[in-house]
Amino acid sequence: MNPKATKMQNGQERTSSQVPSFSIDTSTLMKIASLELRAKAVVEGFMSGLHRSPYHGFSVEFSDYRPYSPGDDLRYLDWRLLARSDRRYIKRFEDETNLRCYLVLDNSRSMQFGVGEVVKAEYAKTLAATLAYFFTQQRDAVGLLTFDQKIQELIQPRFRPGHLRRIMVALDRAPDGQATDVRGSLEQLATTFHKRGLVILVSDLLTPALELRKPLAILRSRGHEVILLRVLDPTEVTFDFREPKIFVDVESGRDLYVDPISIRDRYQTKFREHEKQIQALSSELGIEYYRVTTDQAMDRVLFNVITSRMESRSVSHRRATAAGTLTNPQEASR
Amino acid sequence: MSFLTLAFGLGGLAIAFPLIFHLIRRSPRGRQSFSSLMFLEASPPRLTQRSRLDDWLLLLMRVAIISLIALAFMRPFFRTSALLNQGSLVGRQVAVLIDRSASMQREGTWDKAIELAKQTLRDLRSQDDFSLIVFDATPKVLLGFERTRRTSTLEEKREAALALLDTEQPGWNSTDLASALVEVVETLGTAGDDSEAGKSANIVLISDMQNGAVIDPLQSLEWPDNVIVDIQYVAVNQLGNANLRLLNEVASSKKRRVRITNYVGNEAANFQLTWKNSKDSTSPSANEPVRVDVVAGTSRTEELEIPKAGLVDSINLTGDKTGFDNTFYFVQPVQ
Repeated sequence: MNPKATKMQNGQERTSSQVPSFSIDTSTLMKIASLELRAKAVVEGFMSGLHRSPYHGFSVEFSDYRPYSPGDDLRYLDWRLLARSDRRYIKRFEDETNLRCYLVLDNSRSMQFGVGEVVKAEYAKTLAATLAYFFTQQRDAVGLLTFDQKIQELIQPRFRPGHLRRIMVALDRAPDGQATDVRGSLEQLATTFHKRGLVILVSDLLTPALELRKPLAILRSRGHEVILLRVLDPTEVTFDFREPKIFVDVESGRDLYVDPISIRDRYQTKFREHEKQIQALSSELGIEYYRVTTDQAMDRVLFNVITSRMESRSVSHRRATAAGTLTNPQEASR
Repeated sequence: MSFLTLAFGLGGLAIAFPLIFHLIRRSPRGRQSFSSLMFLEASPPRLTQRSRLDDWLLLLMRVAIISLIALAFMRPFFRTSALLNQGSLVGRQVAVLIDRSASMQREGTWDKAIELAKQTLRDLRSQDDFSLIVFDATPKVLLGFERTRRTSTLEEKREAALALLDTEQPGWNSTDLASALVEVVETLGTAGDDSEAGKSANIVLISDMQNGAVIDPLQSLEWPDNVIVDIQYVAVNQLGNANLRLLNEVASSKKRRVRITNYVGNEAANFQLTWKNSKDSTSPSANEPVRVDVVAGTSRTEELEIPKAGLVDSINLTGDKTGFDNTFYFVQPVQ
């Protein structure tokens, strides 16, 4: 089955028939106090589920060779090549190529909202921690940028001992953000991070879509790959409140008397229109967009991100091979 | 019950207003923090099946207020009998004081004064005591409190007073208002026994309030607290007056001095003096009229030669619209 068939369907992940069933209950996950342990639980649960998965379309694909060095894992030795040519080469897979990943986390006041057990900020930072853990496991360099109305934390992408711990500590700091300035933060990121990489923005994106165009376009023009992970509370999607109340904007403090029953349809219409604008913008700029609510299992998001990553690596590998930049020992030995 | 009872009763239906108001004004239960209001819009309050009545105690108070107001307006129309004990009413002591000085001789002035007196008598109540007094240089009691008290009905009292008024006319004396008021106050103080002590005392003064009335002695009078003066002013048709007065003979001459006084406000300033015989008005004047010009507010003395004795007994001033004091009578000594 072609993983691309259901990509970006209203920002939802792939259909359940394609996703391996290794979901971890979010509320249970959030009971783990340590952020690093939480991330580890998600990643290891995901990986173990991956091995049991019948989804053969997913794999870490072979991309390249490199000469064997003492100490390399013999599991990746190309034994056929050794038998044919008596040469020792280690298979390089797509996940072994160096990747710079920039995790951009929205820490504004709006992320503190949450009706259920999990607030968006907690879900988002767990998601960011999970991605950081995963990419570190894949030997990729991971950096972090947190922002509200200005940049709070900036950690350059590194792959070195202790770097993941530093990221976890930064993520674990209690957010005290007020307003949101996605545009300014992304623009600053584009000017700060010169080396191309993968930018994963974790935010609720509760800002006019037009404000996102310029910074995202700048990132794409600099050669970055961009993934938008929109984290929302389920009530922000459905607005299934019942009682009329004074609704207070947590960032601006503005309030409105709202009767949810009478305005629910209009709310959902406006919400869908806004999301369509973001999707259209993403499609136009070649950006991947996923929407997740805090009641959804986190590993599903992880699956979508990783799958997307693998697909893009496969494309770049085939392009590199066609351009003659990759050496295939098997071809060389013939 | 009358038409207004029903109307005020319908006003009680106004309790519907606080009921509707409490249903429409849906007080939101608390506040809800939300991430962003960008997709929200304000909702108007509405009346639905799920509307509830908030603030029951406040609603009941509002309904009670409106109901009580409606009942309060309705209640006077629930007929009840009310007995009024006339004996419990306290009457007044009323002294009617009428000016009959010379200034009241002006045309129409005395008639107006009588009319005001009659109106005052008509306004009296059955439990009132009254007296009727006329005054000029001295006061004169026409009808005292004792006499009115002995009379049984108010109507009889009025008839007696009116009969006495018809016999009165203004005189030629000056106005001593102070003496009249002092006598009335003393009369009020001694009128009746202790049972009259609670009655209020009114003095109804009917006068043209002419300048020159004597009022200085009132400064030394300690005015009683329960005595009220009601001044019924008699308006005069004309302002301004002139009169004349024959003075003594001029020494070593047959002429007599005549003083003509023209009071302030009189528009006329040109007068004529004519000797007359009051018993024979058709006889021609012995002398031609003498023209005299006197500015208003001033006096002038003229020396005139008196005609032969027996021919004239008066001198007349013409040119003044107020004519009651324009003739001065005299007796010539026999020569």
